[in-house]
Amino acid sequence: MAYEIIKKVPTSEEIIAKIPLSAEGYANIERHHQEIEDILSGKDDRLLMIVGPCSAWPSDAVLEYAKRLKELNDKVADKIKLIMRVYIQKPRTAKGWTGPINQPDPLATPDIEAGIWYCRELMVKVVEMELPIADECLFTHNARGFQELLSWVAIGARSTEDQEHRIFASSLECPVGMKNPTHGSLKIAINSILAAQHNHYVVFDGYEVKTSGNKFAHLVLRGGAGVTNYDVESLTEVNELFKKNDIVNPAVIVDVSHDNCMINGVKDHNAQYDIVLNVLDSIKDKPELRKLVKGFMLESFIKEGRQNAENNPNIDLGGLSITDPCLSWERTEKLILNLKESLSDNEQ
Amino acid sequence: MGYRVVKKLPTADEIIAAMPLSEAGYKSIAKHHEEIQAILRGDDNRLIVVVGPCSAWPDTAVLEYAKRLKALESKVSHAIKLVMRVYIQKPRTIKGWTGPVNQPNPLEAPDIGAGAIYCRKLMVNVVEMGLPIADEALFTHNARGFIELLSWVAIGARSSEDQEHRIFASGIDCPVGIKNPTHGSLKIGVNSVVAAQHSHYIVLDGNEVETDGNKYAHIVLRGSNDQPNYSIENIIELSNLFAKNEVSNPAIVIDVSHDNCMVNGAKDHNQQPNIIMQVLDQLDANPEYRHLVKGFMVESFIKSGKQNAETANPIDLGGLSITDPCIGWEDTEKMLLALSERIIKRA
Repeated sequence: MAYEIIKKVPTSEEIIAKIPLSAEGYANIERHHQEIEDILSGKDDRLLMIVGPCSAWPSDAVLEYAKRLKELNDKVADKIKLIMRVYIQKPRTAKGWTGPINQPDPLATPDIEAGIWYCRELMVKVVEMELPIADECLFTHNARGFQELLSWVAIGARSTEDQEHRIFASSLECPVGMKNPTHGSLKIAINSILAAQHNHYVVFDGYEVKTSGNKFAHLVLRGGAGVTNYDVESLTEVNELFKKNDIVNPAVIVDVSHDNCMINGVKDHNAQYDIVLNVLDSIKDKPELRKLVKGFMLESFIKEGRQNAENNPNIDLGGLSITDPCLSWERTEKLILNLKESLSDNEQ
Repeated sequence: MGYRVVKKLPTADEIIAAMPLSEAGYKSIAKHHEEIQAILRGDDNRLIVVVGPCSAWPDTAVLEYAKRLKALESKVSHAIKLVMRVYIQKPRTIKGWTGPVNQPNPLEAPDIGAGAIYCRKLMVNVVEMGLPIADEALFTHNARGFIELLSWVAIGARSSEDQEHRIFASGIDCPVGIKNPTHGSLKIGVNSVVAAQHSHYIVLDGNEVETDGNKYAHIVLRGSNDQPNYSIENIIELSNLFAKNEVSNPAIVIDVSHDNCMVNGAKDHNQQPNIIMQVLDQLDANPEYRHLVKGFMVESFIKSGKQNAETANPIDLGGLSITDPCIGWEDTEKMLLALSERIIKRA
């Protein structure tokens, strides 16, 4: 093989032993899974909101964000199930910073062992705060030590058509959101869900295994090819494809970032706020679609916007994204409180 | 995790020990790599033709095909570097038979232990005949025991945008052909080539490793959305993208099957030889792009067409595809002889 070994990395057992999660933490994750599954199956009519920074860096700012989100959670939990993005791996268009798991200091050389400690510690801390966490499953190798901390997993737009990721998704106990591919084909996205809900034979860790099939695999709409796909027409098309393909627990999460916040070819992170409200408004008189939309994903951090990590002598460590631009904390809080209010109003 | 363990599998070391490749076999692979790299670099003017069944089943017919291909090789090797498809894993649109490595008997339950032995044995046999072999890297786990037998690897259309596969491609010695994605974006296809040519940090087998970057990663055009993409306009677009992205060893292999042999929405496998000739005609008319097209991929088996393994009664074990339709051996031989003659003339 064409590679150079840098050093041995700790095994999953060593990682878990060094930074253990409490029994209470594990029990919380189980409860989160159950609640999220109930929302996806329609037993619980709260909305899922998957919010947090594009990439989980730097850790101090991520923990400050978690603290604020936890406080907000206590005010909205009867209407909204909040899940925090703790994204440790980043897919790239071609190459670049692949997230804190590979490079915990984006300005130093990659150091995966240091990245492992950074990410495990961060995730365990957030889970111990009783917040459910989400990540994208970018690599299917070496998932243990991280995967079991998650309450929601994404299969990214660039991996959603890949058989290895689909089969991996079929083996997870965690609810998994399959994004539509970057080019936007909803048909291929539905194929991904079908494949993830089905069982498969595959090799894991030296064993032939039969996956269970993930009955809570669902769709995440993120726009495609620079065009949004959160409109009523797209949702109607998804609804019809779900029916045609006998999808179990048909559910859609609308990612209001990525190509869904493109305006004239440019990403406007601030538009995320309005898109959430627009989507709910557009389907309020369409009960079938309203039932289909189980929640939203947004990219949000403490400070609004983004910065370059490279060539930036005054890098801001106070919660300003170094990957995609994010909504500020203030706007995030206002959006979620507004949302809770409108959900309560609808009931009366 | 949501899975049930079926059984323990032999390790890569056990698989290799049970069915070793001779020293001459390893040497021939090194020589094949070098020849294919020389063609991709432009130091050797021959064309690469990756040819063989859609899926490597059943083994007796695959070996018969290999025997015929080997006999033909000496007649065309001055013009064509033949590489035989021995495809042991199959990507599916949704689900279905995933190839002999998972299910060596398509009519019985999957048995990966038996599949690993079936596939290693078949691959070793073909390599020992002196033929270079090709496969698609569908799964990046447990590649050892198989990947080092290959002289050419494909990253499939459904995986070419996936970071795990791109980084895997950047860490293998073997020349890798990255297919354009199913939706056809050549820009994303070239991004995949750029990512595979670049070095990356990643965990492999419990180690942090830095991949070398695969300087022989190149693009494979396979059409998209029921439309072909082998026209001169597509080749010019790629030429510009290669230059813009400073791609090393810029090279295109044209897969004349898949969406490239779609005629009015239906796949016509018999078109494959004609498409090769059409591409060469276009390149003759636009000689400045001729150097970019380094070869072709063809789906071919002993018999023309395909059958359905589940419903065929009786199932034909004499070399009739159970996945995509193939051209038969006679057409394959005719095509390769004609191609060889044409390449010699053009040189």
